[in-house]
Amino acid sequence: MKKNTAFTLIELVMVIVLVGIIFGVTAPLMLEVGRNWQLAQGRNELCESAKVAMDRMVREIRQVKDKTSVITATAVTFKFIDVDNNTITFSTASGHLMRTVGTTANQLADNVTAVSFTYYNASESVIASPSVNPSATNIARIVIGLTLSSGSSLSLESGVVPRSLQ
Amino acid sequence: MMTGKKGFTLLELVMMIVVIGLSFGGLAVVTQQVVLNIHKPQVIATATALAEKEMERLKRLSFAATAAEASQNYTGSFSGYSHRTTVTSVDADHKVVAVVISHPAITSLTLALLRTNY
Repeated sequence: MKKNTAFTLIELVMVIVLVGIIFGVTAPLMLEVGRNWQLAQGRNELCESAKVAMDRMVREIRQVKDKTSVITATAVTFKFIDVDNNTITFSTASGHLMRTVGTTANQLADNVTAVSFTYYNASESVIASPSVNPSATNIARIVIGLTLSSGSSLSLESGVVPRSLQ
Repeated sequence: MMTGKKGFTLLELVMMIVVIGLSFGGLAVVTQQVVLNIHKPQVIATATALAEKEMERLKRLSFAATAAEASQNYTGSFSGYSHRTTVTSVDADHKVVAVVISHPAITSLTLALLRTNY
């Protein structure tokens, strides 16, 4: 009596074909998962830098020294003197959010498609052209909008009420 | 009778199929969860910023004027998000002001602040 303990060629071929089919079916799925993972990674990075930039702007603008310390207040630029007498400017330049202290410019965020400053007066009305230095400003609250885009896009909007402007 | 041909029995095959099926099922559930939750950090970041914005607005109100607000939807870049305010009185000079930002992906995010009557 002959004992067949090994696989026959046909059995091996069948196994290879079946394994191949299984991989063939799951591969596109895995590729899709990988692509989404990469996309999510990019979005998370975008999200992190947007958060950091927004927090920084809110924290610093809260430190406006007094009512005559707002130097420029437009929809895209905000320049002011803080409690430590630093002149700080937030603006955009070719897709970068810039923070300028005195004359030293630093990049706060990359892939910036829009930064917007909206100013509200003491009676909560939007003011298109606020009074600025040398006059006392009529700004009481500032709403900051920030949009970052790289593959996907993310918008954040936050607000700040500088204590010295109340 | 000994034939020398050892194959799988039907029961073994069925068990194998069940085990493989279960593991694929588990994998599918995990993948689905990942796909469904992958955008949550962005939603939380956006909702946090919006909550701070609303809280700053509320901070400008006097103690007496700080009151609950009904749910209101955002429009434009923030459609899908909505905000409401709840005010809980602690005593005559203290109240807890809570801004609740809602979005289908996270249900809600709450930012609370203790207001004093100074």
